[in-house]
Amino acid sequence: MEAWFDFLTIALIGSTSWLIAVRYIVSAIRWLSFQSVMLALYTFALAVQSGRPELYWIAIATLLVKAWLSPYILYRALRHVGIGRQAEKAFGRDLLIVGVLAMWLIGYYVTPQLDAAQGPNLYLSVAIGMLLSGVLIMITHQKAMMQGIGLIVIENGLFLAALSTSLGMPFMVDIGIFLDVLVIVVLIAALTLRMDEQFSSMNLEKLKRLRG
Amino acid sequence: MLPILVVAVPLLTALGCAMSKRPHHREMVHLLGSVVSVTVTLWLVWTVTASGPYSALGQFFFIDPLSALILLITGIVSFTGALHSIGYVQREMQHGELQDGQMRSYYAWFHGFVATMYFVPMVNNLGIVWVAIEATTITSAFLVALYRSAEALEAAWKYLILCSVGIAFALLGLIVLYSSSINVYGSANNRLDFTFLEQATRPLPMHLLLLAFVLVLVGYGTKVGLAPMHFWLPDAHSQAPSPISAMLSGALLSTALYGILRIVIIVDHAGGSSFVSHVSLAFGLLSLVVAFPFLLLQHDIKRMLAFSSVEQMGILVFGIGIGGPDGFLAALLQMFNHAMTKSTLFMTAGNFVQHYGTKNMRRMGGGLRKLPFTGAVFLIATIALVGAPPFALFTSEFALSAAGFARNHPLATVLFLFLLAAMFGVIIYQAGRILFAKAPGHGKHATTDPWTTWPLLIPLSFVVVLGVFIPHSLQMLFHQAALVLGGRMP
Repeated sequence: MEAWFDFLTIALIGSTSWLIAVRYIVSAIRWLSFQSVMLALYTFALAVQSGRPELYWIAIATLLVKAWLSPYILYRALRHVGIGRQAEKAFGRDLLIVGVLAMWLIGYYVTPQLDAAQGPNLYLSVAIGMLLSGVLIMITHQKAMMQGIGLIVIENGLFLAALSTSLGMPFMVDIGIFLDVLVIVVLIAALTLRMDEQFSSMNLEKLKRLRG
Repeated sequence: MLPILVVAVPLLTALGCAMSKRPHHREMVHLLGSVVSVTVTLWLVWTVTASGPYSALGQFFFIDPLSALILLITGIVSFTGALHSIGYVQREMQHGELQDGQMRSYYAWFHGFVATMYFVPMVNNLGIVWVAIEATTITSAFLVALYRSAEALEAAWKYLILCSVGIAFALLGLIVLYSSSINVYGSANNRLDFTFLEQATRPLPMHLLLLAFVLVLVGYGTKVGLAPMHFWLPDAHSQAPSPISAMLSGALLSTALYGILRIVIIVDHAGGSSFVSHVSLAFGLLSLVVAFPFLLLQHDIKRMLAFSSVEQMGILVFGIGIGGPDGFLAALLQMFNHAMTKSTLFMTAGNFVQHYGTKNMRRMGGGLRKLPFTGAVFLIATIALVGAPPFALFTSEFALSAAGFARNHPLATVLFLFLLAAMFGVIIYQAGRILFAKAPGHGKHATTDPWTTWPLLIPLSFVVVLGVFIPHSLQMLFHQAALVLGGRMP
């Protein structure tokens, strides 16, 4: 079982690191979906290991909302504005890879020790690294939709944090968070479309009217 | 049963508004729904004030006096906003600013927004409180984006993204809190309930509690508009339709602050109050300092009011930092008074903006002569806002400073008073530009709509009356809420 968890965690680290450097938005959406599938498998493995029935439901919900529905909504919106849009990063790819590595390191060092008996929780470090990488994606990208993708990476990181420390939040809370995420994705897609209509672009450079 | 009604009535009203075809019917549904909704809410608040905490559905809903106070604020502000909306939306439609479809979504999201705000203080599980606060962001983002202008779009985007990222940190804080609670007590359903955590008998690890507190403060602080996380606030509050600005500033900021207050109680209970106090004092003063230059150089009336909200939230968090029974009581009074005053001001600003056709204060002028009623209300509310006697905010700010000296924070309190004095000058100067400056060219007298004027008297009467006299029942509610905040459940 441990090997299985480690494999999934490495897949999560890899997909997150890769997400930040992709050239086209459409491949970012694909990697986001891949990341969510890994997260669903992680939950499923945890369900088998702990024997908690509600975790199976959470795994299914992850698959449904994060791996299928959210990327699909983003994909539909992207197809509307042009599938060939590039992600447009503010920095070069090399610098971003260094940046994301730094995030993993920071995640490792700032992880609080929740339980002195168990020692450091590496999965929590990965979760915090994912959260920080999500923030990094949002800061370094200029396209509105990439910011939305960064936001979902942050949510995924939080989800992993809850799973690794306390087998997920209480069931009701998890379901509530899924609903929130879903509506946020719809809103992001809608606002992106409207931005594209208004400015013929979804570059956030255009959002510079409100100051001071 | 009551808490379910409090949420269900606005939800049904939203549904009714979305489904009714004629604008006239929609207004009727909206009005009826708002009246029923505020009645049910006030009834619940009354029940809690008279006979103590109220719980329903097991302990899924748990309303103590602190929750009741937030409900009361939300109820009054959103009811006033609902009445004001009728006149406001009618006028926007006459001027072609809003189309029929937009009106429909305005009323539907209005009530959706109200429902989510009512939900926040009523639930017991802090994780669900988080879900509800995030839901308020979503519902109100639709309202901020209502005018399909480039500015509104920008404001809605910033609002959605910044608040969602900010609040993600609050969730991380709650995850830390939950896992430490499980580690100490073992797994069970109520481990994230505030009724459980606020009376925890075995200590949770202090370093984790403090970490959770900082994360939650930063997370919900983004939504409260504390500096330096306030960047979305002036944009969203200025671009939203004016009744919505009033609700964002009056009700939503208090609702988000509620999320912080709950954690403060838990950490204080565990013995971390000096850390909470220092961090809160620092954040409070920083917000005051940051808001000042923006208030001084502002030309947009709604942005000015929004920055004043940043300042006022600074005062509130400062009050939490002062702590103690007196400090908490003063902070809660300040929260209520600010909600009343600021919602009045945003709605009067809406009247000015509709009359002059601009938000720029340099192009307004003679407000007191052109819109006598609105102008007078604006004048009174402004004087109240800056904390001049005999209005309600004077009482609470005075009590706050007294508590500050009494609890041995002389340096911070002197700085606080100095900043308040500076704000006083700036806001009075800005209001004078609108009310007394020479009127611009077009001299026609304004037509006033009773829907946009008379409702302003509801919050204004609290501002005026509470400065000299607080009714017994309200006094009880404040005292009990302060006791809850001080960690002593009544």
